[in-house]
Amino acid sequence: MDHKKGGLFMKKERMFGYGMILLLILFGMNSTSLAQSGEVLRVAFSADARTFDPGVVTRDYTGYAVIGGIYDFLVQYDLKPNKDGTFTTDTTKFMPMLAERWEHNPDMSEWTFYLRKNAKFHSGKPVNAQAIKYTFSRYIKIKSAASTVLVLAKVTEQGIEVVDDSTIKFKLQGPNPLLLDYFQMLSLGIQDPEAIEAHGGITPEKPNDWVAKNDVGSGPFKLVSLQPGVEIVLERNEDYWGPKPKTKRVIFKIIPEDSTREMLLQKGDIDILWLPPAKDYEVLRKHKNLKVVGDPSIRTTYIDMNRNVPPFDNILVRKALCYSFPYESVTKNILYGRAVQMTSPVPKGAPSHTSEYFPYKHDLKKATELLKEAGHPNGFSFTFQLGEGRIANNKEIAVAWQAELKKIGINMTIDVLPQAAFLEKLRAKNIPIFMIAWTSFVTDPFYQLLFLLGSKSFCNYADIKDAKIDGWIDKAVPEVNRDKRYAISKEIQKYAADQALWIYMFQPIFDTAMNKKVQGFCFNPDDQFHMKTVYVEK
Amino acid sequence: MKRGGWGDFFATSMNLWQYILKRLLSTIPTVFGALVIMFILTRILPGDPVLMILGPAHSSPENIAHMRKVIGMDQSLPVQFLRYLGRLVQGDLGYSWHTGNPVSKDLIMRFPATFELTTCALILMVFFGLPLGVIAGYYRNRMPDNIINGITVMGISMPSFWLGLLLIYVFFFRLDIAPPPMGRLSAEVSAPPVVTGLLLIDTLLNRNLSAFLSTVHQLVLPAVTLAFFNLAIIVRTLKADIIDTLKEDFIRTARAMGLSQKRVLFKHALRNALLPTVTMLGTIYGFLLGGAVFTEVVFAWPGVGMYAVESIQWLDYAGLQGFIIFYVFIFTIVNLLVDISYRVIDPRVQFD
Repeated sequence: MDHKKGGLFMKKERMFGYGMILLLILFGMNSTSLAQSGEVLRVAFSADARTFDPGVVTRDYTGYAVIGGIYDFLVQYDLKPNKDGTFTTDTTKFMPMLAERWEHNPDMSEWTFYLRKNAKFHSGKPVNAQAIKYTFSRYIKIKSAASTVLVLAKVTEQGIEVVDDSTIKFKLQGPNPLLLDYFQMLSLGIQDPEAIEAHGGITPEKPNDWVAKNDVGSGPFKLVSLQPGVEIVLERNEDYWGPKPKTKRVIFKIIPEDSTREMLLQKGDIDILWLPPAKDYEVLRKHKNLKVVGDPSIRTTYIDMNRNVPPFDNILVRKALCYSFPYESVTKNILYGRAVQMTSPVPKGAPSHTSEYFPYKHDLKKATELLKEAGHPNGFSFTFQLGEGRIANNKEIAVAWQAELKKIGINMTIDVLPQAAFLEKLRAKNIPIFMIAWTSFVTDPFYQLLFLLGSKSFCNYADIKDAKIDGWIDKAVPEVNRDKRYAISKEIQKYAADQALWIYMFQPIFDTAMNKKVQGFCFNPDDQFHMKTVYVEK
Repeated sequence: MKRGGWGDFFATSMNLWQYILKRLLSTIPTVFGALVIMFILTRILPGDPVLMILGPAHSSPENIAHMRKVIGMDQSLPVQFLRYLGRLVQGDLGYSWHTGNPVSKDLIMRFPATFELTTCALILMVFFGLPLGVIAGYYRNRMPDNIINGITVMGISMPSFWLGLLLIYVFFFRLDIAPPPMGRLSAEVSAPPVVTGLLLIDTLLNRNLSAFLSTVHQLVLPAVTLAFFNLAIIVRTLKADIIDTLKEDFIRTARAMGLSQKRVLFKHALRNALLPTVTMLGTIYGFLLGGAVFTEVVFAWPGVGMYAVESIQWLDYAGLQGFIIFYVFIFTIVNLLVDISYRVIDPRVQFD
C-alpha cells in the first residue's frame, strides 16, 4: 500500500490545520479585566438562592445574604470595629434601623416603636407603620417560616396597632424580653405593601412567587439582575436613608465546585469565597494574594444521647462516653484546627456561657473505670447515626471516636444516612445516639436551652424529659431581668454537664477566604454573610 | 438512476411523516412507564422533603402539616400520581421548590446552555473522531493506530470532572489562556437579549462580536472535556467497521479502478462504515443532552444537568420528575433523528 506523503493529508487536512490555529487564537485571547476598580465585589457561593422573600427563606445561605442587603429591619445589632478594619457583630447591643427608638412597659409585653420618617422603599414609597403591620400580617397569613418566628416572639395579628404613620405598637401575648432579638432577624424584613398588592397580593397559606424573585425592600442595596444558576447582582441604593455601603455593585457568583471556586479566588476572578473547606485553610492562608479570616461560630456541634434507651439511661455510661471522646485530636487533626472546644450547651459567644462546669477530657482510664462501675466491664455495642453532609468531616470524626471506643471494649457501628432520611428519623425522636449541629437564630441562652432540652420542643431529638430543666426554663423564659435569666442559664449548664447529657464536640470556626484588597469584613456569630461594610480597596 | 442522498430522501417524505407520527405515538407508553417508575422511585428515596424545606428550627408539627398540604403531599400516593398526570396533560410539570419556579420554566431556561455545550462537544467529536477512526482503521495495529488508541483510552479513563479540573488548572490557573470557568459568558461583557437562548446565535443577532467571542472562549474547555471523554467510543466503533469494510469487494474494485487512497477511505469506506457510529453518536448526544452533569458542575455551567443534581440534593420531587420526563423526551427525539439519518446515509433502509 502506497500511502506516504501527500496521500492522506492534502488540501482538506491543511484546512483542518488552519481551523486548529484559529481555535487556538480564539482560545488564547485574554479578556481584559475591569474587576479591580474597587466598585465591584464578587462573592462566590456554592448554590443559587431559592427565594428573596424574608418570610419564606429557610436554609438558604445565598438567599439570606441577598435579603440582608435588600431589606431593612426594625432594629439591628451593633457593629464593633476591630483594629484591622474588620467588624464584629455585637449581639448584646441594639441599634436603630427603621425604628429610631422604642420603649416597652415594665413586664415587656407591650412595645412601641417610633419609626424614622425618611426611609423609603426601592419603589419610592415611604416605609411607614402601615407597611410594617402589612408585612407582619402577611407573614402570619401565608404561614411561612417567619410566622414561626412571630409565634415565638408572641406577636399576633390582632396585637399590632398602627398608632400613626410613624408609630407602631405591639401588644404581645405575654412578656417577651427578647423581642428586639427577633425583630433584627432576617426573616422579618419589612416589605413594600403596594408592590406586593400590585403583584398578586396575599394569598392565605401560600407564598407569592413574584415576591420570591423580586425586591420589595428598602435596604441599602437594590436587586438589579438575576440569572438563575449563574449570578445575582445588587447595586447600592443611592437614596438610602442611612450610611451607604462602600461597594457600588455586589455580584454573587454561583460556582458549585469547591476546587473551581478556589482557583477563581487565587486568580483574582472573585474577591470573596465564603466558607472554604477547613482542609484548604492553610493553602489559602499562605497564598500571597489572599487572607483568610475566621471567628468561632455559635454553631454547637455535639453528640446527643436518648436517655430512654439503654445503656444511655445510665449516667455512668454517658460519663464514660464523654471521657472516651478524642476532643483535641478531632479539632486539631480532623478539623485542621478550624474549630474550638464546645464546653456547654450554651455556645461560647452567647451571653451567660461558661466553661467552668466542663470537666471532660480524653481519658480512657477514667472511661474504663466508669464503665466497670456502670456494670459494663466488658463494654457493649451500639450504632451511631450520622446525616450525610451538614456537618463537615462527620464521618472522619465518627471513625476517630470508634477507634477510641474499641480500646475500652465498646463496639460502635457507624451508620451514615442521607440528610433527609436522617432528619426524618430525628423528628420521630427514635435515634438512640447521634451527631448533630445547632445554630440558634437568637443568641439568647434560652433559645438554645428551650429548643434543645425543653421536653415540649420538637427539636429535642434525644427526647429529654427532665422536670428540673423544664422548671428552670419555665421560670426563665418570661423573666424580664437579664441577670436572673443568665443565673438560671448557668444552673442548667452545670446540670447538663453533671448529667452528661451530651458529648460536647466543638464550635466550628467559620472562615471566609478573600483577596487581600478586601476590607471591612464583618464577623457574624450566625453563619450569614453580611456585605454592608465590605469593599475592595482600590 | 442514482439512489440515496437528499433527493431520494425527500421523494419518500410522505412515508417519512407517517413514520415520524407513528414513532411519536409509540413513545407514549414509554413515557408513561418511565413516569410510573420515576414516581415510585422518587418516593422511595429516603427522607421527607418537607423537613428539607423547613429545616429543623421551623419543623413544628403545624408547619409540617401545612407544608405537606402546600406541596400536595397530604394525599395518598395514587391520588398524588393522578393529580400529577392530570396537570401533566395540561403541560404543567409542577412547581420546583428549590428554585421557586415552575419546573417547565426552569428546564426551558436551562436547556439552551446544555444544548449549546453538548452540540459543540458533538461537533468536536465528529470533527476529530471520524478522521481518527478512519486513520486508526487504516493503520490498524501500527504506530498511528497505537497513538490514537492511547489518546482516546486516556480520555475515557479519566473521570470527566477530573479532566475538567485538570484543564482548568493547566489552561486557566497556570497558563492563563483560558477564561475563568464561571459559566457561559465572561463577567465583563453583558449578555445579549434572549432570542433563542443559545448565546452563540443571540450574540450574533445582537451584532455583539465581543460577546460572541467570549461565548466561544467560555465554551472551549467544557466542550473539549465532554468531547475528549466520549471520543474513544466514536473512534473505536468506527475503527472496527472501517476494518471490516476495507475487506469488502467494492473497496477492492474501487482501488482497482485507480481511485486515490483518500477517496477510497473517506468516500467509499467511511460512508459504508458509518451507520453504527451514527447510532453511537446519537446515543451519546441524547445522553449528554440530558445533562452533562459533572462537566456542568465543574465549569459552573447553568444547564439541566446541574438542575437535576440540585433537585436530587434537595429532594425536589417536581424538579426531578420534570427532568426525567424531559430526558425521555429528548432521548426519543434524538433516536428518531438518528433513525431518519440512516435513510440519508443508506438508501436501502426503509421506514416501516
